[in-house]
Amino acid sequence: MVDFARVQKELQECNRDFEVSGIKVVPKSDASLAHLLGTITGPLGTPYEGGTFKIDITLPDGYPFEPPKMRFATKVWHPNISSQSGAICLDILKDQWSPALTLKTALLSVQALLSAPEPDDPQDAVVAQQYLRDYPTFMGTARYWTEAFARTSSLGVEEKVQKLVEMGFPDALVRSTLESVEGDENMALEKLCSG
Amino acid sequence: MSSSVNESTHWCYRCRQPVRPPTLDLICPSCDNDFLQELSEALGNMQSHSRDRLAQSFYTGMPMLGLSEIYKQRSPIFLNPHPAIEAMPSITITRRHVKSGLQCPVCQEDFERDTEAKQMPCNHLYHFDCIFPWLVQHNSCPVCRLQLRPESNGSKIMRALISFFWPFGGSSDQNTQYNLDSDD
Ligand SMILES: [Zn+2]
Ligand SMILES: [Zn+2]
Ligand SMILES: [Zn+2]
Repeated sequence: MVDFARVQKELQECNRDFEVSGIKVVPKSDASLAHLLGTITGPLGTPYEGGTFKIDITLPDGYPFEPPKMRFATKVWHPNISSQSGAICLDILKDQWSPALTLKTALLSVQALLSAPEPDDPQDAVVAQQYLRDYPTFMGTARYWTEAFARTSSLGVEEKVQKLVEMGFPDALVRSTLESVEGDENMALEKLCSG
Repeated sequence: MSSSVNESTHWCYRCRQPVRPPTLDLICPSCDNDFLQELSEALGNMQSHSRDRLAQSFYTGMPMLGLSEIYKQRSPIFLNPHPAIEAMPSITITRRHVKSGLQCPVCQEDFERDTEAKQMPCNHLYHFDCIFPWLVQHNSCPVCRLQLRPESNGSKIMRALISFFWPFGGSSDQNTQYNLDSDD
């Protein structure tokens, strides 16, 4: 059984200093604390700067004795993150997990991974190859993906709704979808398109 | 032999009973969690006869007990508790601990005055219930990752725990559902 008392505490703790850390975790629905949505900001001085990245979090029953399952919901171009599935290659999310770690420390590690790719232990072989053989192109692609997928726009909710409704999606569905991804219109669009 | 016992292949840490996962997915059939360990591994290299009987006492007597309850209720018959657990001192939480805001790193609750905590060799403190499930499968302090002595690894601790309740000597009413020798 997930230790929900601890998860509750973690969420409060984590969201208290969002302004400083740029890290946030919220439940995906009111129904359960086992599915969470994390947010990290792209580190300054990296091709991820200026991006806001959503991370899909599932807590296994054994949490905190087993690591949280995390994957990027926002598309990202990085040697240790699958450009297809968002799967993350990070030791503390696998065998180096410890129950003294938290969702926040895990997300901080993910954020640190964005600053310090490890192409020798890749999750995405194509990205890793590019990183090692053609660094300028890697930087360009990573920056482009940040622009395209991780830029939070300054549009208000109603403007986002209008934009998506104009694309042909029903109003109510647009609103609920936007809400489920915390107002990220790129993710909402992706969700709406995938049905 | 009860066939339901023979079919169990894994120990569920949530239900605290032997279970048989339906697929290779390793999910407990009664609670759906995946916090399972192979029964044979959990039982270590005990002799097969003992293992069968042990599984029976697991099955009939143990399901509802928490680990610390099992620990506390362990039979006085058993004379050789494992050093790894025995050597880990219990300390009583003092006012000083409470004042310093000391928390159990696993559940992240403040320690309460006059309660007991387990002290790892590195001095890190945990509730017994919080550190035990970790030590069953790992060999290190969650905070500083200090390795415990190599001989006190997870499976050996598990073996020691099992030794505590076999031969099963807990309250007899829990043990009467199944006569251990009836089918032999
Ligand atoms: Zn179970
Ligand atoms: Zn605790
Ligand atoms: Zn320690």
